[in-house]
Amino acid sequence: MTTLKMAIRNILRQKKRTILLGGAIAFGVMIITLVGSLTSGLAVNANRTFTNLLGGHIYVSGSEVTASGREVTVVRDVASLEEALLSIENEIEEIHFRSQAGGEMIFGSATEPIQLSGVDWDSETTLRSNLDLTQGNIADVQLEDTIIVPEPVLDALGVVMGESVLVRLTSITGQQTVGDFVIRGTVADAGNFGLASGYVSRSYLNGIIGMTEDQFQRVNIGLVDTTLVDSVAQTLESELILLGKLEIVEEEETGGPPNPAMMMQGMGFGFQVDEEDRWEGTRFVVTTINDTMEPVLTVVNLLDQVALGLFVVLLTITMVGLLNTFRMILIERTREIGTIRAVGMQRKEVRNMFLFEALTLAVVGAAVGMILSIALGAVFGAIPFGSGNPAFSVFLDGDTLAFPFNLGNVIVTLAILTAGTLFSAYLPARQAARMRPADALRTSY
Amino acid sequence: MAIVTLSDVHKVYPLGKTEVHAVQGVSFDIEEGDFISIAGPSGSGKSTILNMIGCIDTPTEGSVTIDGTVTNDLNDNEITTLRHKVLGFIFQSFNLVPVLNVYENIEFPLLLGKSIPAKAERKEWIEYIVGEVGLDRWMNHKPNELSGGQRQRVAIARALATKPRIVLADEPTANLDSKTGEQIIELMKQVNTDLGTTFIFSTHDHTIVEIADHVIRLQDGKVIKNERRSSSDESEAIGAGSGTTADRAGE
Ligand SMILES: Nc1ncnc2c1ncn2[C@@H]1O[C@H](COP(=O)(O)OP(=O)(O)O)[C@@H](O)[C@H]1O
Ligand SMILES: [Mg+2]
Repeated sequence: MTTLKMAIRNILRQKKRTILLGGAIAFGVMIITLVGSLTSGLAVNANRTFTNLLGGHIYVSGSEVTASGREVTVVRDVASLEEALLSIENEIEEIHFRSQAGGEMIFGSATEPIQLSGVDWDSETTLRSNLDLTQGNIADVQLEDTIIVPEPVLDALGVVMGESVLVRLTSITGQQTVGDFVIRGTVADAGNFGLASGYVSRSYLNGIIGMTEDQFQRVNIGLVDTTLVDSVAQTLESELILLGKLEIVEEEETGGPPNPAMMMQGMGFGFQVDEEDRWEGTRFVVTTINDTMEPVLTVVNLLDQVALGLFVVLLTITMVGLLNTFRMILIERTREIGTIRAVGMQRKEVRNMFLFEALTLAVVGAAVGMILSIALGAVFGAIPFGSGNPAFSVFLDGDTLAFPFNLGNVIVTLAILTAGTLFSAYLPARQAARMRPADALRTSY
Repeated sequence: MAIVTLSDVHKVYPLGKTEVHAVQGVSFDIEEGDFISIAGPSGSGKSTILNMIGCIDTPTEGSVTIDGTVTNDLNDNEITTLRHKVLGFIFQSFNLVPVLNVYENIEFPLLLGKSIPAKAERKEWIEYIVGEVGLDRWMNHKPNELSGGQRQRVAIARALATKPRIVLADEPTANLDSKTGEQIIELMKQVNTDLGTTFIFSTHDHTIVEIADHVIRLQDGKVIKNERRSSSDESEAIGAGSGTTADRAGE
């Protein structure tokens, strides 16, 4: 405890110098911690947004080839699917069966592109509570022709709540059809990369796009443990492969992960399939939230690396300062070192005393930096961003950024800082320890 | 048995391309409980000899024996431990640790080494020595709030903290006015009487030399006089190296 006491008092001996050095350390730590918690906030928010948007973590869609050789997205082989799902039964928190269709909403002479999700309102309680209606009443989804649309679509079409609209859709066999809907609810744009998505009743949508009431095109699975997405998806895929029901998607062909809009739309909608490529029964495709998150994670990692690089540069500059400071301290305290050595302090203890002083400075600087970053995170986290750029809103929690505490980042930061500090204080500390007491005592600084 | 024995000690300092022969074949014994003055003009080798007795410097030639241990062959760890256990130091310019208060400065040596006494035990002992040097009311003050005389009293208390058998003081009065200097020497003498600690101090001030009961006089790195005075104030010369019979004229 005396060592700590002495370290702190020695640090306070030259206040200006300490504030400068400690301030530099605090600044570096603040930047890296702030960016680290910003990026993990971005990732967390994006993950949640996509989970809500796509209605789960793992998505299984099925398609088959009709007698006339067209590929249609519909799951009729429910038995195989159910068998495969048994293998991941314990991981599933919720599971929903949906239909999807892309088309245009028409009002008067105006049209707007829209993606429709056909949902079973009775079972999709999570969606019902997550849908943050800006207008309308969620209870109205019981009416079968209800459509819930994003505000911007409403504005673009010049249509108001309660009015009827037409939606031009493509049926599963590729025919053009039109459905009648009544707008009974609006949501703020969820920012599906600019593509508006609306929610309708699945059975009603099925009727329009040529499916029977109970059919569905895809299954959305919400997991109990979201960190297991990849392994659970793998289990499910291998189960489907065993059943001979999995379509192997060539990732090269699509050039990167499927984007959410494409995934929502389903894969085939009425295209003619070449004779030799046709298959029997239902084939499944498994995709996950992580496929969607990949570009986000790339950006997040890039940001993290830039911040880390900046931190290392700042730290290097600071550590050169620390090295010089400790060289100066060594000269200033030469006689003191001689004294404590004469009195009976061992070389190793002298060295450790110096290292301890440097570490104390670093730790205090780091603590200040982290407190500042938490404070700044709270300030930045309180700034409302509104619905400016829909793509950006993917990263928001409501309309603000999130700055969660990122323990991993903090540990890495502290480890780098500690290593840097020990590295730069080591030489002066060793020099202090090696000083011959008689020589040290003779100096007259 | 003598507590300190120097036998044919030489010390040569390199100085640029030449050498300084600071101590040239010095031999003497110091008995436990002595109150010894190493006297001599500036540059006569007092500090060099005290440093070698204090094990903070090593002789170029000859041997230094402290409390039965020949110090020449010890490694740095062992020598540091020896200093900690057997020796106490008082310096010309006090050399207190500026960030520690009076109590903490005195406590400092007690916190070093392998067997650290319990807090209560430390407190009792420190309060006793602080009383002995008359600084009871200054316990919580930092060195820079004290006068020179007071600082040297703290240094004496610190030197006594580990209950060493020998206390070395290199010109302890040189930075003090003569009255304060005398008080410091008297305090040292009193501790010497009370605790039986051997005191070895150097000085070039002969009024202070008077208090010593054993005086070793140096000139040009050689002992020119080695005299032990009995309590009855009679002087007795002890056989030593060259120049034993020389008088004080050299000063
Ligand atoms: N580190 C050193 N390097 C070179 N010469 C030294 C050193 N220390 C002392 N000397 C020389 O040794 C001689 C004795 O010095 P010192 O022991 O300090 O004498 P005193 O303490 O009696 O004044 C002097 O001539 C001094 O200049
Ligand atoms: Mg001297």
